[in-house]
Amino acid sequence: MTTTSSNAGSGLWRFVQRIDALLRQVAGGGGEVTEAVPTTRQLLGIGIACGATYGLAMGLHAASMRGWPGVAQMLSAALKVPCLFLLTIAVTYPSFYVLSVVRGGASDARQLLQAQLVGTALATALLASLGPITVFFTLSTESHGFMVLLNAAFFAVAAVLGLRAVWTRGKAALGAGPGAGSRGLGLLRAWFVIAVAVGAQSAWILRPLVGRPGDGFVLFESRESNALAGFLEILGDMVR
Amino acid sequence: MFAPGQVLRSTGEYAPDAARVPVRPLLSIVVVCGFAQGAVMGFHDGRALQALFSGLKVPLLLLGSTAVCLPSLYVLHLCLGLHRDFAAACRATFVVQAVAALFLAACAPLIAFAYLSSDHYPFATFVNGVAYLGAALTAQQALARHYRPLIVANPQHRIVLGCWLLLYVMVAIQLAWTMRPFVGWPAVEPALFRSEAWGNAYVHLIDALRKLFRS
Repeated sequence: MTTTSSNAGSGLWRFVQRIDALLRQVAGGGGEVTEAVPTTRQLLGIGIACGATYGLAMGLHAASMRGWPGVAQMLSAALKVPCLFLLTIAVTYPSFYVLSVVRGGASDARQLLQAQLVGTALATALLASLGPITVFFTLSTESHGFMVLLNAAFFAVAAVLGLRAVWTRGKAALGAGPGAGSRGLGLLRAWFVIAVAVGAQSAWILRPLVGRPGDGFVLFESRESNALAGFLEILGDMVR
Repeated sequence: MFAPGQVLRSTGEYAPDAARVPVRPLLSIVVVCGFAQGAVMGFHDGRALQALFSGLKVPLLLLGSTAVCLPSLYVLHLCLGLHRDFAAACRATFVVQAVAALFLAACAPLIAFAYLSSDHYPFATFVNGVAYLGAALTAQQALARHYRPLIVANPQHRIVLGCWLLLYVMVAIQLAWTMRPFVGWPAVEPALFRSEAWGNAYVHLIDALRKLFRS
């Protein structure tokens, strides 16, 4: 029993070390883009593993329900967080690619996908590292509205960091083409607004991510309103 | 080696450019000094049990907040390509904790004097609040001293510093709220934690503000 748990522990530690090594490759030494970048599969692996880790921390709020509904809600959050990022990439990647080509930037589809995946890997890694804070607040508060706002704030910070990485790499990709210049960079800025809106709406579609302890297991909520309206409603409920 | 002068001035092995991070002596300072101040803080109205509880809780508060935020500090360094400076950031973090604990321990005689001169509970909480505010400001100076060379070398450390301060303060306030009472209401039996649900400091703050503006 002890050997099994110590093997599992060392296996988990090796896995964390592997992710750490890959993230060091992604981030480089001083914020610059490095040549040695993990493969697409490795980046996807980081995104899924780190996203699922944060999903577990996020879903813990619903796990105060007794029995399987709480566990199911927590596991569904662990599945939904990586899905949120993958859905955002799936929806925004075509426009990222087409706009960069139309504006005369580099037409290397793989390079642009790599830029988005690097951003996702860094964003989910940051979220996973914020997991202990989410768990701490989950254990010490009963307010569902507060937990939703806290998670929204963490996602916003992670999104800024992820988009910063996309900006660094996307700028390099757009700058490589003959017609790219300030026009191309303006385009990249416009695309950021689209990416943020799609990410927020993806989270809205996949809700509940935090889950209300009293509601039982809910996989998806009804398709109504939108992310911004929902956010303002929760904020209003908090201060009303 | 216990060298409070070196810690407060950030010199010797506690200097920003020192070769290694002296984790053990710094943690010892936080535990010993935190316990001393906590014990005095909880001794209001001569309650020995509350003094013991508060003495145990102050080091837990300082170190617990750091432990919860440390993973995000590391990943922030990693994401911004600053991971080579993580050891220096850790040194800054631990030195700041030690400086805050030393300041609090230095305030313990003042707090004891205030308790002896008055048994007014709001006055006791006010005196302790002032001591913690002073500790935060002193720690802030030490943090600036340690981060100055890092920011000069790479201005991105400013982002890390801002994020770290925000997260640390947010967690420390909530942890302090969760671990209350520290001074202990004289009419209530000494307790490690409050008997009611832990609650959320920020939700209570919003409630208090709402009531203030409605009345």
